[in-house]
Formats: sequence, structure tokens, C-alpha cells
Amino acid sequence: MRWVNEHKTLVVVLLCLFLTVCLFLGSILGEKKGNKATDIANSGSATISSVFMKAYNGIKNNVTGIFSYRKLQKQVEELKEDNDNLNRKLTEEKMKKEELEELRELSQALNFEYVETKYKLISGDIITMDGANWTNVFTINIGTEDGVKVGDCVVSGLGLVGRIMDVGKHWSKVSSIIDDGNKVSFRLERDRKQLGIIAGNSKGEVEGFMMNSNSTISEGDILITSGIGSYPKGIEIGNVKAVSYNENTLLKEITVETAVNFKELGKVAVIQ
Amino acid sequence: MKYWKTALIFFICIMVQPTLLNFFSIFKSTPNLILSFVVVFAFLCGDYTHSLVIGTGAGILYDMLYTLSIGQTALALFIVSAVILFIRETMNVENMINMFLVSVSSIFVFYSCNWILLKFSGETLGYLYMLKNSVLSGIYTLAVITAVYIYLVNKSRRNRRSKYFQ
Repeated sequence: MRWVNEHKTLVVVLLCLFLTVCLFLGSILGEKKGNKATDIANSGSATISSVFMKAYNGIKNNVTGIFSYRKLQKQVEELKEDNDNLNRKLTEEKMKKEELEELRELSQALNFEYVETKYKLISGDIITMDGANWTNVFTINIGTEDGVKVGDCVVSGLGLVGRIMDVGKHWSKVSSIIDDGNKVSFRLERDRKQLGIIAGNSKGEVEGFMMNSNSTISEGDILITSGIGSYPKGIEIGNVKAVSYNENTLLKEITVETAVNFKELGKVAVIQ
Repeated sequence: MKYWKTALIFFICIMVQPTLLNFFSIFKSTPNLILSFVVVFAFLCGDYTHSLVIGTGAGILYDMLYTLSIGQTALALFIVSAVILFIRETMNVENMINMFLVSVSSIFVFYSCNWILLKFSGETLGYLYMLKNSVLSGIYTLAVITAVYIYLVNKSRRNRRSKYFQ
């Protein structure tokens, strides 16, 4: 006890270090699931952040409006929102169409009756973006009370965004497909029999390969999720930026330009 | 500076960093406010609690709110402030060049530590990619550190020149 009193500075510093290391180890070794303290902090922060975000949006809209045609900007915002909604509907329709075709085939083959399964979309606003300028982690204002679960797929009007990594009552943390180490299975939009796998690389790009080395994939081809794995089928991922043939692996390798610009996201939807 | 004032400054930084600060972004880069204040407080304030304890606490809160693994920012901030507290004994803290050197190395150490800790939690992005994307943010952070440092140094100098000083 005497030693502690004599070395208060050192004790405080060591305690600080010990606590931080324990928290970090607990966080990386434990499940990626919000604990009670994180949930309380995030719930409080979500309220304050949304006030800041509203203020930010208000300032942004008004200040830029002074220097440009305000009416035009409003129209652009409305059109953007309409476009997002239409794209979301289109994605939903694509998924439905594919599922319908597949189930029809199945019902024909097995003499089963068609049963409709529908994905539910829950939309939410981005309330905070991670301060680091090289990761794409952000928080949205919907959580378990809205039915969001860890691992749920997140999309925007333009395409696949990522998935839910952590969730609380009224908040969820989303990791983009670039940051997320998981692989995404895809197929070509023009020829759905051509399958492949993509994943984020160390350069912050998305790259992958085709399952079949005789694939006719070319630059500009649009990729959509295949439905194999954790992502539902039919969601646009992006288009092919470059194609090359790897003589060592005998595979066609591709680099993909994602449909979504992660730094300019405002609204997203979670697929259940 | 009183503890509650320092804690309040860090709390405001945590709230402003991922929200309002985006308004002041240059080429989509924003300064790291928490790091800026940790560096300045560690370099200038006599008491270690301002930067080390409150800074680490702010880092934990920041991680809980905005990142996927708790402790990564806190540990990086702890390392930065501990190093500054250790080396400032050998330096003249009112020398601008010293401040500049300490700030640049602190920013570099912070981003490197953050990247290493993120690697442990499964991040796939490479070191060079991180460095490339942190250059602008680093410069922006350096500008904020310089502004805060000049303000605080001038304040302390003014007080020292006062006839009531001592």
C-alpha cells in the first residue's frame, strides 16, 4: 500500500494500460456483439449524433445553397431520393424474379406448389462515419428493436454496401465489403451461369476470380450477388474494371469497381 | 487547465469528429481531433492525467461508439501520449520546431499503432494503403495541433509576462 501511495503516477498509468489492453483483447477475442456498456454508450451517442448530423446537414444544405441555385439543389436531392427508391425497388424486383424463376423450375420438377418468400427491407440513416480516413465503418440509426441482426446484409439504392457487424437497440455498425474480410460469391448479370468469388484486398480494392477459366467475362460486365453465402441473390456489386489470366492458378482474375461510393452514403437499407 | 474542462473538450471532440467535422473535410479527409488534443496536452500540460488518462478514456469511448473493436484507438493514444510524456523532459516545449517534430512523429506512430491493432482484429487493408490515405488527414491534424499549440503557448506566455505572475 505504501508503494502504491509513493508511485501514484506509475499505478495510474499501469492501470490505464491494463484496462485498455483487457478491453482490446476482450473485444477481438469475444463475439462481435454489443455488450451492455457499448449499447448504453451508443444509444446515448445515437441521440446526440443525430442532433449533430441534423445540424451538419442543415449547415451543408444552407451554405452550399447560398452559392448555388437552392431550388435546383432541392430538386437534385428529391431526384436522388427517388432514384434510390427506384433502384431499391429494382433490386427487390430482380431478387423476386430470380427466385420466382428458380422456384417455378423446382415446382415443375418436383410437383411442389410455389411458396413466395420475400426479403424485408428496413431503411436507416447513417449517423456517424468512422473518423479514420482509410476504413469504411459507419453507424446507422436502426437496431435490434427494428429487427436488425449481426450478419444482415446492407444495401443502398446503388448496390451492395456490406453487412452488420455489431448491433444494439437503436444502432448498428456496418462494415463495407472492402473492409470486411469475407468473400462474396457473385455471378454475371448478362450470363447468370458464370460464377466467381470476390473479396477486398490490401489496396482497398475489390478483386476476385472466376470459377471457370473459360469464362467470357470482360471489362464493364455488371456483377450481382449469387445468393451463395450470407448475401441474398441479385444485388448489384459493381462492374468489372480489369480482367487478367493468372497462369499459375489457371484462373481468370478480375478487379471490380464497386457500385457504391462508400464515402458518400447517406441512407442505407438492411435486408432481412 | 481543470480536469472537467479537458474531459469536456475530449467529449465534444468525440461527438464532433464523425458528424459535424465532415463539413470541414478537404478531399474527404478530416483531422483527428482527439489525437490533436492528446498531442498538445501531453506536450504542454504539466499533469500527465490530461493527456494520458483522459485521452485514453476518450479513446475507449470513441471505440465503443464508432469502431468495431474497443481499445484500438485508446491503446494508440496511450502509446502516443506516453512517448510524448517521456521525451518532453529532454525538450524545450515552447520551441515550435520541437513541437513540429513531436507532432509529425506522433501522427505517424498513432496511425501505425492503429493499423497494427486493427490487423489483430482481422482488418485486411495494407500498411501502404493506410499511409497513402492518411497523408491528407495527417497534414490536416498537424494544422489543428499547430493552431491549438499556438493558442495555448501564447496564453501561458501572456500569463507569465503579467506582473502578477509568480
